[in-house]
Amino acid sequence: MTDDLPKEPMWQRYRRLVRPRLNEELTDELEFHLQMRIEEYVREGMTPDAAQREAQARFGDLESVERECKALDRRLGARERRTERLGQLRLDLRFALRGMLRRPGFSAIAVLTLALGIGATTLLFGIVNAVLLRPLGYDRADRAIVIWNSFQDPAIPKAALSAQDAADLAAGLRGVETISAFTDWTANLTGAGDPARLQGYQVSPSFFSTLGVAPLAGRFFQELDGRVGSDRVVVLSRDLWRSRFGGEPAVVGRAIQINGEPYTVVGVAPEGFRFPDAPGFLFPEHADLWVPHDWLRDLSLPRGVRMLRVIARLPAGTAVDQARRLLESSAAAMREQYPGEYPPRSGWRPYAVPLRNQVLGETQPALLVLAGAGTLLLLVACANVANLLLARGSARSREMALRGAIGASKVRLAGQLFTENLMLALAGGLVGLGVAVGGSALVRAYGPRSIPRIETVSLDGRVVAFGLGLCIVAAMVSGLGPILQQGRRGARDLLRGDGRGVVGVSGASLRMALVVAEVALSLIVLVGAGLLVKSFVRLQTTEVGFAPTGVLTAQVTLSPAGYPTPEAQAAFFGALLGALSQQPGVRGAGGADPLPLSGDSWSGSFAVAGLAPDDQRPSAEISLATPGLFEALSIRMKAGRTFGPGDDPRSPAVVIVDSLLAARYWPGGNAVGQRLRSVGGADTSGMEIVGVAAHVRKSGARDEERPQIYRPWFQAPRDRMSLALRGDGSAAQLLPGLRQAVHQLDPAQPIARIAPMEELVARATAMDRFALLLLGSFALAATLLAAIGLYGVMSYTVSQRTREMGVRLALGARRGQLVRLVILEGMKPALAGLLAGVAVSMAIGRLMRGLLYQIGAIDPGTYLVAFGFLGGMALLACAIPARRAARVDPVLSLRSD
Amino acid sequence: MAPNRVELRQGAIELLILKTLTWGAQHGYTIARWIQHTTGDVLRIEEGSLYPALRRLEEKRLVQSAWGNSENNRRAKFYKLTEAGRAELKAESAVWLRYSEAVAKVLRSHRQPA
Repeated sequence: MTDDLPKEPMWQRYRRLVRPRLNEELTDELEFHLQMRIEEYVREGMTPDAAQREAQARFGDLESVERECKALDRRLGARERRTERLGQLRLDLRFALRGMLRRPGFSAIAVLTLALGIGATTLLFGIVNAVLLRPLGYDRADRAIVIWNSFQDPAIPKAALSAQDAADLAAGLRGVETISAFTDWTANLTGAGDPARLQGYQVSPSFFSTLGVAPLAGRFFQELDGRVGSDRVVVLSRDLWRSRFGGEPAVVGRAIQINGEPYTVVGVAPEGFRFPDAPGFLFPEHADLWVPHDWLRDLSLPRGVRMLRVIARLPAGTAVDQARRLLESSAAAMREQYPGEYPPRSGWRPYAVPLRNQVLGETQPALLVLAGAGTLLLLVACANVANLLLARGSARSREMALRGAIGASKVRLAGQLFTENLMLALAGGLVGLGVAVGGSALVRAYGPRSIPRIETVSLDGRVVAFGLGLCIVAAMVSGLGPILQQGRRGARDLLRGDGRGVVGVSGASLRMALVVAEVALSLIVLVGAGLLVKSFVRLQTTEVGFAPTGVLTAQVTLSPAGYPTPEAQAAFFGALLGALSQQPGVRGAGGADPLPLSGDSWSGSFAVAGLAPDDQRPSAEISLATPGLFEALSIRMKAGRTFGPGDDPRSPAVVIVDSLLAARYWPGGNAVGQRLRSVGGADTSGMEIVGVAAHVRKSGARDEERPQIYRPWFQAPRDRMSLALRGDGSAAQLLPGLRQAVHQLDPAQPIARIAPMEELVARATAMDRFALLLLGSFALAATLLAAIGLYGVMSYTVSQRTREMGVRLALGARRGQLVRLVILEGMKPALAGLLAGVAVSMAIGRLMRGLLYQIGAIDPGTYLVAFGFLGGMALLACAIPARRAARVDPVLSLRSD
Repeated sequence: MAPNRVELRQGAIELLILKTLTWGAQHGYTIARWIQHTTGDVLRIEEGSLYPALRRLEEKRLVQSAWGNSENNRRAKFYKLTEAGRAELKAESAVWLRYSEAVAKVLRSHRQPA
């Protein structure tokens, strides 16, 4: 009997060596027991045979014991292996952590570099996730389609439908579950706090079921709602219900005052539902409330009045293509039935788009370009860290060789290196997630509103998981090189002492390959950023045709109850403009509908008197304007006069056209005095052109340059006017005066859309600004990283070749030659990278097209600048180590070993 | 072989093994013999059942095992108490003793129920 287990200190190692022979051990153990027993019986005097029988009897059923023990041993063995692996991992982690802390400079650079890449990519994924990937609130979105009209004019790809268009098309869409139409509807809410002008939509009763949403409270519309003579009912958005009615469930069933009429609240829409809420529908504002109107039964309006958006839900399993074919055949039948309404020359064609594409499609290319740029930055960061690791790997090669020599397998060593890289990447990922959290807060606050759902950008579970996944990928990508290099190296050479000769070959070529990749990737991002900068400059310097600085805009919509006739509406707005222009500090006051940059638009066809009537009908942007508008917006007049107070319903109809229209039809410059036969569909006896105004870019710099026609507002008065006020100072100073003037005329009259014109201008380029900011910072970061990477490699190479330099100097090389040698050697991979980057950029350049303004995706100037900039950085990164190489003292360098 | 044998419950074998190992690391055979001697061969267990019991103890981390050389210089597997095993033995034997004393008290009692 021993006091303790044999050879206790060697416990674990001993154990590991015998582990694979578990079954053999078991047999040995049981054999030993029986043997001892037999020997004892023999000593007591039994015959060997008897002793064996007796021993077996005492032992019991050998087979079942063996079976039971085997099962237990297997379980024990598995547990032991697990513990051992865990122990290994703990050891690796501890080792990696110690390594990181021992080289704080190296670790900090690697962690920050990775944080930049992981942070940028995670932020972009967060945006893509919130905007493009998360399901739309309306859960049948994947089966919902939008139907548009299109005409010959390619400048208007999406045109609204008339009720009769929609009803005929709906009849032909067999199998469609529901179809509904909607249009915007101004709602002045009174009797609940300050009067407010809200955005309402008049929708078919089936609107909510088409989108598949359920009410938060109450009900949505029923089949009979919205017929002529039915009760006035309204559904509120949750935001409106909360802000105006305190979120009281009792509001359902109560009557509220809209446009001076009582409407019974029947329901509240679920949280976040503000449909139509995307710019794709050509409505600038999200819904606050909805009222029913059975568009598909109310066919009182003529076929040519087109203001409806139509959505439909397909039954499960119906492809959009099938709906498209049905639309085509309905359209063919309609062309035949109403040849006057749908003449072949109009090019009328209805078509369907999946709702999801309509809501999100327009932002997709820009976001994907940005996400791609983020990924490139991450790759550059990985390449940089890989370079750092390679350099450090060389320094550690002896350590690794030693570990290999005392028994660590290659897999084990690779595992350890991977653990170290993973630690670096995770640390980088944590910092990067912090960067992404901060970035997403900025995006929520300042992101362009033209991107739907941008305000919901956040780091949810999916984004965090993505970020962590990036860490693992980054660890693998950046660590692959060093691990490969490790595997190739012979341990004997390294252990012999002078490892230097061996390090060179594989390490150097890997490093050079990384430099090529880094430079190429950076060039791609830099070219992208350069293109954006150039097009942004063009956007900013484009003449919009008016002076937005110091102009305040607002919109006033009168309720039909208070101002039922055009005369009453004209009287109100006439008095308002009169009062405003009398105010001190106001230099110009005018009204229009629609106002440039307001997001509203009105297009219609027109005909020039004296031209053949069967000429294809051209279309123009039409707006109503008061006399003061041209002064308030400083729209330059090229010829003739602006509108005057005399242009009223009693005087002859007049128009002002823009320089584009004038130049197209009267290139000789004699437009004033000519006549237009019709404007906006309605044929009149003709309108005289009294003036030619400069073309105004009504949707900002990206304007399609379509001809424009102004009609005097007071010749066609209506319930809505957008105001433009120009003052001596800032736009904001004019607001109190505006409020006071409106209040004096009608205390219950709300004012909507109050904004300085400059803000509208900025809004029109918000997406460009956003893309530029992100891509620009990515490009700067990538260029910086590439330069650091190149510098690191070059100075490492030079330091490794000190001896060679010394020899060259001793043999008579001049220092200038050495500088040239090093620079040439460094610039070779840099140039290769630049050329590769140019090639790739040109190949993928078309992805950028949607983001650019007035320049092609392959803009030679931009390429040249990016090439030169990055090349200059590379030259600098090589020049510093080259000078160091030239200062080598031959005597010292030869002695250095 | 003694005529009066008592069948042993499973948990009891493990308790006896733990007790045996308080004298130091031993292999299976010496454990069997020690139990046999100490009980005067009354508690005669099937010796084979020791081995699964030892493995169960090892799984619970109450004992550790290692190969070594026996007293007559043959390769044998030795078992040793761990700290957890020592604590387990202390707790379990206290329970066991209280239980068996209580049973014994009843069985030896001469008083009639009240």
